[in-house]
Amino acid sequence: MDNNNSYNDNDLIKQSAEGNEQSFALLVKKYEKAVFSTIYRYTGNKEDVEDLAQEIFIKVWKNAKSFKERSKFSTWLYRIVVNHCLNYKIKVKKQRRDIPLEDVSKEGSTSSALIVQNDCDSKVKVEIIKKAIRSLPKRQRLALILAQFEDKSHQEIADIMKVSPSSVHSLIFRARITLRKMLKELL
Amino acid sequence: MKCSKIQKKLSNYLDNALPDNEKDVIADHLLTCATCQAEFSTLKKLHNTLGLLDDMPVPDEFSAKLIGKIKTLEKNREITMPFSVFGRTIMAAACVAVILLSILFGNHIGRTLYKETTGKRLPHNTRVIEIFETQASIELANYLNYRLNYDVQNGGAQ
Repeated sequence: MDNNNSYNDNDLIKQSAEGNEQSFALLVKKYEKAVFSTIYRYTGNKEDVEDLAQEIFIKVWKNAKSFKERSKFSTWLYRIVVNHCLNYKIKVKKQRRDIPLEDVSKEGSTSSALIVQNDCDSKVKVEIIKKAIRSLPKRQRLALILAQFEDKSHQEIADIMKVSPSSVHSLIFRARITLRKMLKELL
Repeated sequence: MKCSKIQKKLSNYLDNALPDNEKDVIADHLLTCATCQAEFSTLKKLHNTLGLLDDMPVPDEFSAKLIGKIKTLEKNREITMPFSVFGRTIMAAACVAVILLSILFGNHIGRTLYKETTGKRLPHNTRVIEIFETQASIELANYLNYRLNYDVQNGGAQ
């Protein structure tokens, strides 16, 4: 993000803090895709994403006055997203349409890894990947999502998650080790 | 650098999260080490496989719905707190002014009543509480006088 964009974000959030809904709408338009993407990849559940995204942006609106420009607006926003994700609990009544792994296993195969046929279609692969990511511990999952899908640098992730860069290295490293084992057959 | 150390850094190397000198060391090592090359290749395959994960599009009406919800929240907030920040500041200032004026006028009214009741002026530095205490003392003295006269006229205290 270049300085011009950062300047605009700071202006927009200041105006939002004064109750300017149009400025806030511009901020929402700019970041809604990133917020949706992060939440969806974290939860793997399309039904919850819109509600969670709405809660996050309402939180941003209500707390706009507390943004003090000590960091970039995007960092502050992602912090709210991360905290919201960490507090997310899967609803009791799930409407999941997971494809059972047995449907895609090779007959007679035994392995601790997720067993798939090499030629299984992309929808199945996506479900398997989603399941593997969801199985990661929360912080590893978030660090990996921010690095892999949101193109955040390790330093940015450290700022967002309020941890040291070496902790970020460790979180992503361990996440990849786990995913390698789980997705061995897909690689 | 040993292969075990190199392999621990490959995740950071993939994310371009290493200082330049370390990146160069790893790049050179990968040119000559088949094991570490294979390890890095697997890491890249994992990265590409994760890239297959679909994204969720944002519904067109999301921001309009959100702004609508915010307008409702703000409306509800105004019902419980009817004034703007400026209005609330004015109200607070007005309350302070009323309290100060009450003290000033109360002092003046107290002194005026005292003068009319007793025919005397209270000293200028008398505190408001003293006015009430003084007035109460006068009332008590008057009552005691009355009782004394009553008792004398009626042959002793009851």
